[in-house]
Amino acid sequence: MNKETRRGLKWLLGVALVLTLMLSPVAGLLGFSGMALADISQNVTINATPAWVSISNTPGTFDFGTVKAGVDEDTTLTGFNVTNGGSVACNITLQCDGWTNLTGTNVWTYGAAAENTSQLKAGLEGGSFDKTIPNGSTVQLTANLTAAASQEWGIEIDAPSAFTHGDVQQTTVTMTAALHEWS
Amino acid sequence: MKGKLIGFLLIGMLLLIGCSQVTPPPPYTPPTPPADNTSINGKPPIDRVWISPAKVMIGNFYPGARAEWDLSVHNGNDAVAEFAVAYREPDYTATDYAAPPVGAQNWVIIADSSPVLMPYETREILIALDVPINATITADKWEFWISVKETTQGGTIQTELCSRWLVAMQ
Repeated sequence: MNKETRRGLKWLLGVALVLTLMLSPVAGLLGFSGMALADISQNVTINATPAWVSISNTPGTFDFGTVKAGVDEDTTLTGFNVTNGGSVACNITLQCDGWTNLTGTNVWTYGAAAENTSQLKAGLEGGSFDKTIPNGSTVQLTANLTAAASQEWGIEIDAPSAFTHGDVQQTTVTMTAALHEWS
Repeated sequence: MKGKLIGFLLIGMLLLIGCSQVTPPPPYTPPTPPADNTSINGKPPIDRVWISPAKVMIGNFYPGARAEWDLSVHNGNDAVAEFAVAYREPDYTATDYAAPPVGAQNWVIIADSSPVLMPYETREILIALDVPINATITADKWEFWISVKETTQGGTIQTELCSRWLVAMQ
């Protein structure tokens, strides 16, 4: 082994020694590995308020029965009652999943009344059916419904202007509750 | 002779490296939530579906960090019920908070996304926000929601409960 080879091997040995120390568990004991990451992550804070969210709505289903073309039907504005059973005030939003066909192959389009096209609207007691329930997004039904409070509301079907089939249609409305904004 | 010695030393060091553990991300231990979730209104009802907490606030966060919290889900039915626990885009955000960054749904880890709960059972579901170190987040403050929906509920009017998660970056 000549001098050059020995020098190269020594250099290699030195590099290997440093790498070994950095990657081995001993490094942790010496305080090298992961030290910076640990110090930073300890600064992340997380906390939560011990409150709970709960709502109930009755009735849980509604059937409009036979709908005539161009004739809107509704549950009345007191057809449903939502109660905030949680410990904090909530906002309530609505959305639906569009029409599905329960008996055949023809499906209505979800949208403003037109041929084979229909949508739902919601309204609060004492108001009007002024909130179109969207498919794929949400609309606010009521804000700041306080704990233990109830709100009556209803749904109207914006009936199609005309039909080319009589298949039974259904949609599911999802009522979402989340904490009313507070700082 | 010297060559063999160096060879043995190298092999030994490589074995040391092979046996060593890659340093894991430092675990973050969340504070323990109150045992009974009491509030000024008392304890949550046993016969209603509820979730807790309503809001989780994460501060001083940064790409590469991880934050965890247990979400309590209670089955208030007198029958077994299945729930869907999922990341959700917020319908609205707190003042000064933006909508979640693109890709945020990939950073939220839900330990059990379809828990089946016995009647009146309360289950702790671990939720973790684990943002990759190379993530691009332009908003200083942003919000996402965790949705809990009972998938076994019938009817055409169904309910969904959401927990709001507010994130403030470093």
